[in-house]
Parts: sequence; C-alpha cells; structure tokens
Amino acid sequence: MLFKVENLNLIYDIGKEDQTYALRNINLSLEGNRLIGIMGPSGSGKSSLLYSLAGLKIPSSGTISYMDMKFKELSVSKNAKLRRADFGFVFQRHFLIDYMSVIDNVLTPINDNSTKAKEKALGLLGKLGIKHLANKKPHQLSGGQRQKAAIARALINDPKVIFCDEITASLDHSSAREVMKLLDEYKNNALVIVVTHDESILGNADDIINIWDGVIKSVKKSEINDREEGI
Amino acid sequence: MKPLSALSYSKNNKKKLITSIISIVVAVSFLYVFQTFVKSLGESIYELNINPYKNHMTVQSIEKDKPIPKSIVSIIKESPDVDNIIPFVSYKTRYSIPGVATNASILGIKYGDIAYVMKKHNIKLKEGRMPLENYREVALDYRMAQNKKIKLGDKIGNSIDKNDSLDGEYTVVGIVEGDSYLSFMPYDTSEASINSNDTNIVNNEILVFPKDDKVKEVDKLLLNLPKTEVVVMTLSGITKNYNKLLSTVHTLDMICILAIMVMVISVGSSKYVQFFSRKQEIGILNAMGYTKAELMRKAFWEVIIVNMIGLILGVIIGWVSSILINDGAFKAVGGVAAYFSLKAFLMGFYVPLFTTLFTLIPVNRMISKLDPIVMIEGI
Repeated sequence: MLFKVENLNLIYDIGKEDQTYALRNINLSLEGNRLIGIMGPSGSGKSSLLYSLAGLKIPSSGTISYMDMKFKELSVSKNAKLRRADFGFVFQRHFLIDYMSVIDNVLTPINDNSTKAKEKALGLLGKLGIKHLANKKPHQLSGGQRQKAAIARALINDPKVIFCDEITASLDHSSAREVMKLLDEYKNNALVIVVTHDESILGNADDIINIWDGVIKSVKKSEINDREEGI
Repeated sequence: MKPLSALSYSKNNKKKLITSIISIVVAVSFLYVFQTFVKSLGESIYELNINPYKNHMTVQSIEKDKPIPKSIVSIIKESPDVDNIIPFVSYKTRYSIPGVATNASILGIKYGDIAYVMKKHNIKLKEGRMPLENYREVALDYRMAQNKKIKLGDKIGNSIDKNDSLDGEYTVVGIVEGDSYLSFMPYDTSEASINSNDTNIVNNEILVFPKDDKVKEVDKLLLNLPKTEVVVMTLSGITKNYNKLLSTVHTLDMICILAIMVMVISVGSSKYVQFFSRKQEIGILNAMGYTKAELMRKAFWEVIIVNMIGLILGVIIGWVSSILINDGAFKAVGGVAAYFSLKAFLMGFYVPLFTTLFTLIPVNRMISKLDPIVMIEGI
C-alpha cells in the first residue's frame, strides 16, 4: 500500500470556539501508478488532503502512512528527505526561482549539475516541448511554459508520487489540456494526484475523489480503469 | 556549479552581490585606514619622544636657579652602570604631524661632547657639516628637516617660527641621521646663565648615559633619587607617560566601534531584506524536501562569500590607501607611516564577522518559522 489514511482529522483553530474541520474522518488507501483526481469546490479541503498526504500538513488526529511509514513517527528532517527522494510537486503557481535559468530550476530538487543530470533535464524539457527555453529565465516564459518547467522540475528526481495542486488554474484551456496530457503520460511511472475544481481536466483520471466540507463524498472509478490496483 | 550552491547564487545575482560587497569594502577599508592612521600618529610620537631615552636619561634640578646637588651628581658619576654624564641645554623646535603639534629637542652641548652623544645614539652626519663652536649654527635631524621643510643653509629660530625656543636665527649647516630625533648645536653649558633668554631649561641639566645593557639598572638608580631635589626622565618613566597618552586613543576606538555598529546594522539589515524577499524561494525549497538546516547552510555560505570577498578587497584597498595617505601625511613630514596593523585588520574583520552574525540570526529565525504551506496557499 502506497498511502494509507486512517481516521484523519485536520482541524484549524483547534481549542477555540469556532474551530474548523478542514478534513473530517478521512479513511483512504491509495495504491499503484495511476492518475487520481481530487475534486471539490473552493474550501472543501482537497488541498488540505493533498498536503496531508505529502506530509506537509500535520493532522490533528488520525494517521497517514506512506509505504508503511507513519508520517507522525518521522522526524522533520526525515520527512523532508522523504519528500525530496520520493515526491514531486507542481503547484497552482509555478514557483520557479526567478534568478535561475529554466534548466537550473529543473535541477533544483536533485541539486546536481553533472552532464548526466543536465541531459536528463534537457530530455524532460524536450518531452515538454520547451528544450529551446532551457537557458531562459522564468520571466521570459509564458504562463504555460513556466508550468511545463515546473512539471519538469517535479519529474527530475523520478518521484514515486507527484502531487499537483490546481496546476491548470492559471492556464488557458489548451495549455491546461496539454499539461494534463503530459501528466497522463507519466502515470505509468508514478502515482499522480491532481487536485482541481475543474472536472473537465480529469478525463483521463483513473479515480476521482469528491470531497465536500472536508468529507469524502464519493470515489468515482474511471470506466476505462481496468487495473487491479486503485482506491 | 550546483544550482543551489552559494557560488551559483552569486553568479546569478551579480548586482546584489556587488552592492553588498561594496558596503563591506567601504566599511573595512575605512576602518583599516583609520587604524593605520592612528598607528602612524602613535608611532611618530613614540619615536620622537621615546627613542632618545633608549640611550640616555636626563636629570634636572628641581629649581631652575639651583644646580643639581653635588651629592646627587656623585651618586650618578660613581655608579658602575653609568658610562658618562654630559651637561646640556634643551631647546625645543616645533614638530607638526597631522593631529599633533609638539616639540622636538635640539641638544645644546659642549662642542667636544657632540661626537660622543652622536656615537651613543648611532647618529651620523648625512649632509653638510657639524656646527662650529661659537657660531649660531645647528645640525638638524633629517626627519625634523623634512617636517620643517628645511634644507642646508636655511635658518631656524624664534624669529622665523615663534614656537621655537632658539632665540633669534640659527643656520642649519648639517643634517644628521639616526634612531633618535635629535639635533645638535654647540653650547658652552658652563658659561650659560640662568636668566639667559635664549634657553628654555637653561643650566643644570645632565644627560646620563648608561653602559651597554645597563639601562634598567641606571633607570632604577635615577628613579630612586630624591624627588625633592631633581626631576628625572628615564625610559620607563617616559614610556609610562606615553602609555597614559595612548589611553586617550581608546576614545578613537570607541568611534571605530560605533562606526562598526552603524555599518553592521545597515549592511546586516539590507542583507536580511534580501533574504526576506526570497521567502518564497526558501519556502518552495523546503516544500520540495530541503531541510531547514540545509537551507540555513545555503544562506550561511551566501553570506560568507559576500563578507569574505568584502573583507579581502577591503583590506587590500585599505592597505593601498594607507600607503598613499600615511606616506603623504606622515612619512613626507618626517613621521612614521604604518601600513599594516593587526588592530586595523581586526577592526576590519569585525565588520564581516558581525554582519554575518547579524544577518544569519534573523535569517535563521525566519527559516525556522517558515511554513511552506502558508507560503504556497498564501498566494
């Protein structure tokens, strides 16, 4: 089992009068290389679930295990090392480092400048169709190109899990489709978890988790999903 | 160059790097020049006032109109550690270096004693000739000549410079060179009258020359003479006075410390602002999996690079400036020019040291409090 979530609660303003449940009694198991969508309106708790799975948010109660390792039993530095080794992140904004070239941004998760690493980064940029922009600075790129560079950065360390948070929110429709197509291609190599409020981009998702007010309302299996693994 | 290395950051942020380095360079070089300037001043005064006492000491009657008691003269003469005693008259002539206007000695001694005194002080004639007996002539130390911008044939005395104690005009016929700032004129001390208006200290003052390696013993002997009868000036006594004078230099150190504080606060806060503006970058790296310790290490090396380059360039520029400034301000006027001083280096070193600390302490606090999710969700 890649992820196992048991009785997860995430409460904001805990102990105060108007405490808010971001996540309420979540139980979930995620397995295998596939594309999973987490759907829900703004404030429904979908990003909270994503970042809890990534070990970036500490649950108020319950446990999250990744490959049988419980996050709450890991030290902060071990947690960070795990993220760097096994996870890749793509956020709503690209968060590229403005003074670095595109290729250096792609190489940041591995902090390696060897020829092999550079070739790999260029390969990824090539697949994403922006190899010719490798030496440009982020401000010289369009929104879609920046997001592609951010995807290349998320893939450089061959992650086992790729976390994507509203990655198409700031893109036009064609760029959004292009980006999702790239992630769909990568789902054979990793578990790709995409948080969105736009169902149209989850056409190729293997499973879609619908979340509302911090509670999982439904898990929709894709009709084309014939894998044994899943949720 | 690894993408997240401090060198890579420096290469990609040349303008910020240069701006930060310039601030450090200015601070370090200013402190370096200031300290070597003060050192030049101190060493010039030291050589002028202390050096003569390395070879002789003086004993003077406490009252101007009374000679040194014979009993005291006998004690000194009979001491096995004393090589010779020579009566003299001391004249003062103005010696000015930046920040200080003081006097240097012209020894009025018997014509026949001049050679002995010069030998004991390892003083040699550099130019011209020695002054003749019964002529209004003087042989000036070469640094004094430089200070007063005097060459052979020029005249000195209170008719030229009212601050001089030489009455009237004396012709400079020789330039002498040695360890001490001593100048000479022949003067028959046995003939000198107490009320003579061309003498400052007049009669009854003697130079005491210790035998080789007996300076300490003679120093002790003279200091034990009755203070109600004579005033003695020994190497230890004059050194003590000099050290008292040096304590006033601590005021200058306070100025330096204030300058360091101002510079550290301004440079440190501008560096902190630079880091604060990179909060997003630091947050995203933390989200990616870089530990706070790794991020702090990255910040440390970035700050170290700026401060080390600033220190090295600052010391080099400070050193070159010290050569130019102190040569012009001191050496050219017969003073001592200092180009290097450990204190100058240390004062310069405090700037990058404290800038590093005052940058890294708040940066460390910022990194340790950083929540990448707050940063990511706070867009």
